Amino acid sequence: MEAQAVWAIAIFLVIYAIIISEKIHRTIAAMIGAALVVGFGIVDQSTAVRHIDFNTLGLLIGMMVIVNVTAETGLFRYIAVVAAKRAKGEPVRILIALALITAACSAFLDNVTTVLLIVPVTFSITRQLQVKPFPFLFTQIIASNVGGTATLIGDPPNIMIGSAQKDLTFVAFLGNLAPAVLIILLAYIPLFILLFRKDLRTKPELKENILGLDTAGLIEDRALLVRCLSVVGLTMLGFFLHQLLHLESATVALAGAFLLLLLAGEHKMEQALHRVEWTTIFFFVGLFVVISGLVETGVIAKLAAGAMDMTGGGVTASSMLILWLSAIASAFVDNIPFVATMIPLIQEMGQMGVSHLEPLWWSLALGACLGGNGTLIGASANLIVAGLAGKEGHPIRFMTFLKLGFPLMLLSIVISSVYVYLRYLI
Amino acid sequence: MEQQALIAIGIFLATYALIVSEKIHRTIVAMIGGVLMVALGIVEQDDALYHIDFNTIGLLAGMMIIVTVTAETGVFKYVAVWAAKKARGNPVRILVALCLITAVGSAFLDNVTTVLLMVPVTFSITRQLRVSPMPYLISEIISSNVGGTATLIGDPPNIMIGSAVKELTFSAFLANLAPIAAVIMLAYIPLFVRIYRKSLRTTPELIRSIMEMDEKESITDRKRLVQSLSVLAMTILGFFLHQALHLESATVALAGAFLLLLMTGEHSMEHALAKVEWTTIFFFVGLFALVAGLVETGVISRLAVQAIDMTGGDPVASSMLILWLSAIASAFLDNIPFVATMIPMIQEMGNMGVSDLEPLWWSLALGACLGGNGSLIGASANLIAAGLAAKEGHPIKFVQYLKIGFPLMLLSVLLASAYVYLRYLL
Amino acid sequence: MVPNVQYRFDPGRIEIRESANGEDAEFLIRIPDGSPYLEAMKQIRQYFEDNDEITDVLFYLYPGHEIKAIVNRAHYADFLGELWKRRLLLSLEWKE
Repeated sequence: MEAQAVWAIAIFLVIYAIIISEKIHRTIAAMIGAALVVGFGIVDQSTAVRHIDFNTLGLLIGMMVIVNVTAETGLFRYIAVVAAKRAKGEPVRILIALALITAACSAFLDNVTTVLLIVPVTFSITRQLQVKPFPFLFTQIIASNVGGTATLIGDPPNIMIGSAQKDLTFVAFLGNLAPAVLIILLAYIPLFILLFRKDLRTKPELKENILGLDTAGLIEDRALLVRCLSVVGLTMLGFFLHQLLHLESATVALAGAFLLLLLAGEHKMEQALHRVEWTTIFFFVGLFVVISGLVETGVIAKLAAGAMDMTGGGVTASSMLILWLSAIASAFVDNIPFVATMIPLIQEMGQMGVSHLEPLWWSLALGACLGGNGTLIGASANLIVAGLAGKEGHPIRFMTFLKLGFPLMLLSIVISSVYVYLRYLI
Repeated sequence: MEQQALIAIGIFLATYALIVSEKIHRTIVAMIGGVLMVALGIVEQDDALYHIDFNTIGLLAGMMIIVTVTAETGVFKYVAVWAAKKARGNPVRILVALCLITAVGSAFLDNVTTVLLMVPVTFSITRQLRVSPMPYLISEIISSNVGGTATLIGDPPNIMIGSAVKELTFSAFLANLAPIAAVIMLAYIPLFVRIYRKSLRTTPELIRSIMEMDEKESITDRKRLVQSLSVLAMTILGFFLHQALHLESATVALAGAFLLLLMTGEHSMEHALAKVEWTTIFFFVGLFALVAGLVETGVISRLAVQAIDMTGGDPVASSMLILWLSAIASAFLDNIPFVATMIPMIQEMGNMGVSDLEPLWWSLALGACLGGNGSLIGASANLIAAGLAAKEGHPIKFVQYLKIGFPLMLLSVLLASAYVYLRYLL
Repeated sequence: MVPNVQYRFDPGRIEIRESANGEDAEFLIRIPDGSPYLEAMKQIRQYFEDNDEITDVLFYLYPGHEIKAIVNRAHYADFLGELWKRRLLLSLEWKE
């Protein structure tokens, strides 16, 4: 193997090890790795820039801007409180209602954003009911990772896959992944009830308190709300039609974002842009460049050839391998770098003659998204909730999460295996 | 002319008009214009991305990160107090000292950043001396635009030119533009002194209170200071050598930025990334996409043909036309969109047989950067300084600035014309 | 005019002298070496330097941990409130 390839592999492995060890922030590690890949001349800057998937970045930034502005209207708190009242203040019902809201929001918003919106409401409701917040937070984490699997924009792995593979449209994601997600959610709900029913007891007068809440005052800015909802509606419509309109998803999301800023006024812009998670964006930039080193030096092509040898190029064996490998890997390491590495590998397998790639893509999406439920460090949303809960004095322990999350994750992967097999491989 | 080109021109002119009118924030206008170019199918998202100059964006973001972290150490305050003491507390000498610091700072940092660093110390010193801050603010604005002309990284027009024309290296900018920038500064200083000498009087005891200050106390974090200054020095060294190292300037700036963040740790990263001026960055993104529409539909090449017809392809006439046109245009319009439009046009003129493009590039740089001094809305640094001053109760009036800025601008462009003629065209 | 406020501090641990500076107020604060008040004062300085206003409180540092603060009249109460919050003042009250 040539020296360049060895360097590329070495940089990749060191950066990966640092990201897993969490000694240095993952964004800094990835960007330094990128600087090394370009600095050592493994790829030049313009090649590296070509490998950065700006469609993923544009889509993420656009959606974050839209959500940042929408969150200010108080809409999410309003929905949660209305749901709690509809559930008649009964903790178990509220648990289910909030989990379903989380899943639905995660399907259309970034998971981290969704939990950031739902956690504060959760604390305010559980405090009033005097029940432990853990069951709520736990089920919301699980629901957000499952819900995010359903659409192209729900979770970073899906965004990356959809962006790399132009024939997989928004509608295709919905048509192929949403059914599996619904089945998994339906399987989870009775389990949630079974697991937490005993912990969730409250007094009738506390339920009354919930029922007495005023919901009208929760909407802070009605005019802004109308604008936000119209733009969100238009953007969603844009996603559904993006193939037909010959537009890529980032154009749709950024058009929505700046249209909303136009309507909301410029004083919202500074704040909305400020609140975009730039650390995540730069993490992506760094990763794409580090991986461009592997692609350009032919390492990915060799790995793909190896994977083909192992599975004999069979679609069934490859799909199952990808599904389970992604799930186990994503349970313990960040799924973004994993997916960023797998995408060129699967593309390479396509060029080597695997004709029917679609089951492989869906397996990657299902494995990477659902695998995140396996441990507390499996997905960013998990870490964010754990961080918030710890700050509020309700720390979520790694083992507590593992005992509940890992079996639930395995169940979802078994369901997905059956789904992928029955739908694509028979 | 074909329909696509007409639509592109229509979008471009409407966007430009809205930017000039300042009714809507320029970033929102530019992004919506850019999105329209893509959405109406004038350019594809991929083509638009290809035209976005990520080298400019990476360089700006990298330098902003380095400066944000460095500013927190108090070093800029230290330098200002040190200079005020060296000037023996004399208000006129302090004015000259602050102007020189601003000019040198602007040469190596972005102008807006320099002004953002200088304005607070200016208010602090003038308040203590009980003199009007106005002379200081106006002369600092002017110095920052002149200083920014001197290097590749000093001012957005130079960054864009350097990034579009690879053979114009950091050293080439310094060697060709720094001499004339120095001459202009030398011409300006006696004028500043003459204009403001009478209004800058203070009492001996106030001077004493300046002299007794301890600049060393301004340094808040010594370790951070050493880290920031070494990274800043390495980055600037990297700029000098970027051609020899086969690295582009964005790689150098971003490598420096994340090396510094690696040293300072992750909590300063969130802060530093949030402080990057994302509104400016997105303004660039939108503009590049807009200009992409004009380039792809052939509008720019037609304009280039006309320009060559007009000047007969003569280098002297072309250079002088570009220099004066850029100066007058930049005095009243934002120079960034102007330069973004001129760059492909000059490149096109090169393709059409104008052999020696170098004088044209230097004329564009000089005109666009120096022209910014012509009015209060001529450059971002002017607007930022005016905005800060107004917030603190010292509004700078448009006409008040024009009376000083416009004649000084004309003087500098005259000097620049002589310089370009004598050095390149004789 | 600056608001009418009365405050008390421990003269054994901090020295505060207030005077008028134009329409604004000027404080001369001296803190002995090694005092925990030094860190508190640094935080107060950072608070006013990092906020959005430039001329609300301007700090000038002199040798021997002597600090001069020129406090804009509109931010007089803000400044004293910060001193009180960090326990550099023992009491703070409005006077009629």
